[in-house]
Amino acid sequence: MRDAHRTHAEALAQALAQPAPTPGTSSDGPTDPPAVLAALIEAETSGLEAARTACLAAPARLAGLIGSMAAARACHLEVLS
Amino acid sequence: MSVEALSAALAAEHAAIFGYGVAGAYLTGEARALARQAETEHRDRRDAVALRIESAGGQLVAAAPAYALPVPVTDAASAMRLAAALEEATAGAWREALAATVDEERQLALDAFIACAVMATRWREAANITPLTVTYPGTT
Repeated sequence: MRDAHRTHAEALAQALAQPAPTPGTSSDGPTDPPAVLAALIEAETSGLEAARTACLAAPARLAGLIGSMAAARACHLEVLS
Repeated sequence: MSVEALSAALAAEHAAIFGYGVAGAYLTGEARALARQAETEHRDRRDAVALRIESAGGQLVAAAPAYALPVPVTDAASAMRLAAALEEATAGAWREALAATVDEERQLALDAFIACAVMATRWREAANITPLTVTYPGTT
């Protein structure tokens, strides 16, 4: 799932002709498994909604990519939930 | 609206409905219930997209009497692999429709794309196919 997000970020940056994003650190996040899972679900949920909204407003050339990001995030949620 | 793109999605929905008719015969219990749920969702989407195409004055793609299945089905395990493949195929058709649609039609395509991708994930989980998720749903 992490790799999918990185791949999406790189593809979107390339499509937008922007520099590739730099992966952040997670040192300040939760460490116990239930809290980590909850944080992942929260992040995927907000990411799904952001991608949904962006896809509906996107130009045709970006619609497939952003829609794929939304679909992948929905699939991540299916597995995490 | 692109009637062509929506017609391709309609054709994919027809094929998925046929495929579930085959797969369902090999499934029992929770898997059979999931297949019924998925088939119902495909029938609902088929009807919704057909209505859109008709409203735009387009010609509806008729369902074929039979479709070549992407996975040979001989037992429950292969039936679940078929179901996953059917969902990936329909997800791909709806993904293609995204670029050719706007507004309400894009919403229809996006909702369908996401629903098929999630159902494919559920089938991969049921069939113990890994990885459970793919980077680009609808392209496998």
